[in-house]
Amino acid sequence: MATIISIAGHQGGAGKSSTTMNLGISLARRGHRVLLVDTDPLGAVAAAAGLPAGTQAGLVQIMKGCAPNQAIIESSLALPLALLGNGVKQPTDAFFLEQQARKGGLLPLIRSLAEDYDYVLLDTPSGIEAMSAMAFAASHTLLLVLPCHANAVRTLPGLLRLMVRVRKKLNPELHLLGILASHFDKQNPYEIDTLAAMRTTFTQGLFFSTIMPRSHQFERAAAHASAIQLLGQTREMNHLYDQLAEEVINRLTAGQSAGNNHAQPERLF
Amino acid sequence: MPNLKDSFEITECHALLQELLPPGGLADYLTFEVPQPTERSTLAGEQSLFPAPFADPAAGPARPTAEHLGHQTVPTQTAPLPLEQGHTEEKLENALKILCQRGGFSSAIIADDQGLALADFNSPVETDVLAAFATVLGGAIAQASHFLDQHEANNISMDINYADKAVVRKFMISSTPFYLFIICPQDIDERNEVELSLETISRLLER
Ligand SMILES: Nc1ncnc2c1ncn2[C@@H]1O[C@H](COP(=O)(O)OP(=O)(O)O)[C@@H](O)[C@H]1O
Ligand SMILES: [Mg+2]
Repeated sequence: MATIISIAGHQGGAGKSSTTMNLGISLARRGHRVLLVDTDPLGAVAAAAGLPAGTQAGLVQIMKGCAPNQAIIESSLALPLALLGNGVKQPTDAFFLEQQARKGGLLPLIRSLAEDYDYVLLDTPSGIEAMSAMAFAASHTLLLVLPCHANAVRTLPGLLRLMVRVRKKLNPELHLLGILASHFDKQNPYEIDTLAAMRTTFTQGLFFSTIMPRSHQFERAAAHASAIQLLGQTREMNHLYDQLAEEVINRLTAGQSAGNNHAQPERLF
Repeated sequence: MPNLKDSFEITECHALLQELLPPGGLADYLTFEVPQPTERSTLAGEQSLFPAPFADPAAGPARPTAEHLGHQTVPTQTAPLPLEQGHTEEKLENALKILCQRGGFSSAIIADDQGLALADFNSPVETDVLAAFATVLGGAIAQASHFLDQHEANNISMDINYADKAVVRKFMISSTPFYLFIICPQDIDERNEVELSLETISRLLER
């Protein structure tokens, strides 16, 4: 069974979807079988992969029983990388997913999908929603993506409280794998200050050593509906994501002795 | 509202994060492997970047020393380079001093690409602030290749009041960018002096 990782963050634009996509690519490049799941109703991962958002079948169709799982999961031609979209075409589809999440309906689905992979990365929505809670409940571990903005830190407790709640009520094994400082602008002294404040206050070692710098290349990637790693001239970013993948694997291996059995979740709401 | 570092939100984050640690805590090696944060808790804040020293253009290039402004002259414990601390740093600061004396410059500092000061002479504000600013201007130099298709651009000059200018000269050492930042009167041509000193500075940094 795969290790299921929620890529989480409370702010839109924090870099969750970019991290999901690119970490997935780096893990797959190392030969691991990776499944990316778009649990965000806005479906940024599918869009980033060049799949037009809103036209693909996905979670919604599987939940409604319209299509078998394997028919819906897109497999990459080049890498052992697969993608499951959210299947949201209408606002009502998003409501449907949110409802399913409240009932805990998506949990067994994600767990059963995980059987065929080494890593499942769940791209989660921003904010505090049932979908995020469901993703956390289904996950073994959390990767928190955090921009180095003071406001991001000041509003972070809201998301952390949800994580702690899920851990207490639904998923006692859930823990934080690490925090990824993202969008970091090393020329902005205030961001340097914010990052320093966090790294000195939080338990040492919580931050990944890899820091994602702010880069224009992301916009170029978005313009091409591609992942930054698949564009040319992005060696530095590729290297950083490879390094992050290495850290993720190291941390998971180090934590494995703690075991990863999961209690059957109860209802959160 | 208190500084982020002293805010209750960051304290609360810390407490909640601890509840989310893996059962046995973080793996031992993780607590050691993380690079030290780039400490920069003393940002200028309300203090303006160039307070008193440049108020009077008629006064010429004579500037109060860093000591007068109450700043440390050598705040570079965080320099990430494997310099022989003290030794190389002293030599660097000496090179800056000679540069300023010969060129008639009022201040000079060397910063790395992270905005950390490696050495300074007579910085009019916090050395770290000037180093961060040097990196910001250095970033503008890099944009020349993007917007003007000029890949050789390596310096930028900016008038900072009626009398003085700030000049940043970017230089590379084993493909890592560094910045020499100087402040001097607008009417002098600083380039020769800068190029001459760069040779010495590069040699010291290459160690
Ligand atoms: N390190 C970065 N530097 C610059 N832009 C980035 C970076 N990471 C992501 N982006 C861009 O920011 C936007 C939001 O990123 P995304 O990953 O979709 O965030 P989220 O999923 O958290 O909302 C996207 O346009 C993406 O291309
Ligand atoms: Mg997203």
